[in-house]
Amino acid sequence: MPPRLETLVQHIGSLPSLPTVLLRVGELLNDPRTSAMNLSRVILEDQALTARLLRLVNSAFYGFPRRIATVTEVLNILGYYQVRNLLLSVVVVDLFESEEAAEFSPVRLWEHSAGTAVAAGLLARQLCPEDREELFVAGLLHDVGKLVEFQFIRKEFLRVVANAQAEDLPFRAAEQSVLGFSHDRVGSLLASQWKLPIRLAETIAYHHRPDLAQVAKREATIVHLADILCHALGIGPGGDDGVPPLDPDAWQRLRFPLTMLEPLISELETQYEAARALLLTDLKARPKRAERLANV
Amino acid sequence: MARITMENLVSGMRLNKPICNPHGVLLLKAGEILTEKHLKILKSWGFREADVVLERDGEAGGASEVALSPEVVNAAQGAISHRFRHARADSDPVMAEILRVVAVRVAERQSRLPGAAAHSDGSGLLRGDIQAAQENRQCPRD
Repeated sequence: MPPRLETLVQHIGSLPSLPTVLLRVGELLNDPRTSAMNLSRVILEDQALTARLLRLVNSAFYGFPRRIATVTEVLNILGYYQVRNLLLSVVVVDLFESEEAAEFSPVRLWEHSAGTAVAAGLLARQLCPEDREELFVAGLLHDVGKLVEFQFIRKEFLRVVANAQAEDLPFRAAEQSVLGFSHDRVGSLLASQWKLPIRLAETIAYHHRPDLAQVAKREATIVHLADILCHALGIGPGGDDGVPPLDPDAWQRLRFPLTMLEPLISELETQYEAARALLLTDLKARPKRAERLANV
Repeated sequence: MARITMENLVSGMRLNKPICNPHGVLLLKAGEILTEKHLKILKSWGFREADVVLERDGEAGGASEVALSPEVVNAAQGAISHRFRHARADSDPVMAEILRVVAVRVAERQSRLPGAAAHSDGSGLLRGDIQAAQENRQCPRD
């Protein structure tokens, strides 16, 4: 009998929650009286997170012309909401700490997520530069539902992988057939559980069907296209090497010139390698979750 | 510049380095534009590759297909087309363009870094594609 979505939702409740600092940053952002000093004080309480944040903004991938040394500087240069998104992308990497299976590799899924994040960020730079960080995070998280399925209903998830390959089905169709639901829905439930902004939850929920999004149609469309570009370049999530079909209205909605695809793909390749090196080093350098808990 | 294997060299390419025979006698100077006759001679001497200037060299990152033979691009496209099986690349112009651009990227990398051995350290995007494209060329389908 296939697992019920409700059961999976209960499991999601037992996933590691976001670090307290991120929740507090979220609360502060809802308070109009919040200053850069308040925010930086909260972020600085988590020294490890602060170090990772500074490493990310000072990386070649981010490309600031000079070194940024303090959290206050990051807040002033990037803005409060962008910093929350950056913190989120730094902590999300911990989720991908999971042992490999022969049929499915969380590290490959991580590479695909990093690639989609870079592609979504590059598209945003052209189409809506103010949302670049948000779209980067949305790219990182778009397939997080697969990870939840792999963690909690592994047997059924691996059956989806096998079914997609045996029947030559797009992954989402195989999920619908085996489970009765798919990773985009599961990912958006996790986003709600984490109290992430509604636009982010919607982008995750509709990255395969951007036409259905209500408040984040453009964001969902950008991640939809970013996902397709990564599959096309062979930066697939593993267990699923097929390029998903393009939503018929997606291209018109973005009004992205066809001639810009070639330079975009070229830049994506270069930046992906940089982001992969940065994020994967972060993944490998982190103590394992069990070790971290033992040290608490 | 790139070292291009004999089967990928075409007339019109410009040599980046001189070519000498095993006795050190200069056959072709650097800067020489390759002709069909040159290619025949090089093959008869048993040369396996030559260092040529790709059109993209010296340009500000501009992609170019000039140095790529259609055969190489087609082989690359053949090698990655299975990935597009659910994506309607034959009827959707956007997907067709994505397929074309990725195939050109694969072919360009193949030309710049000829031989699978160049990737034996496991690094580099599109490594599998390049190998598949090479296999595609070695075993042309009817």
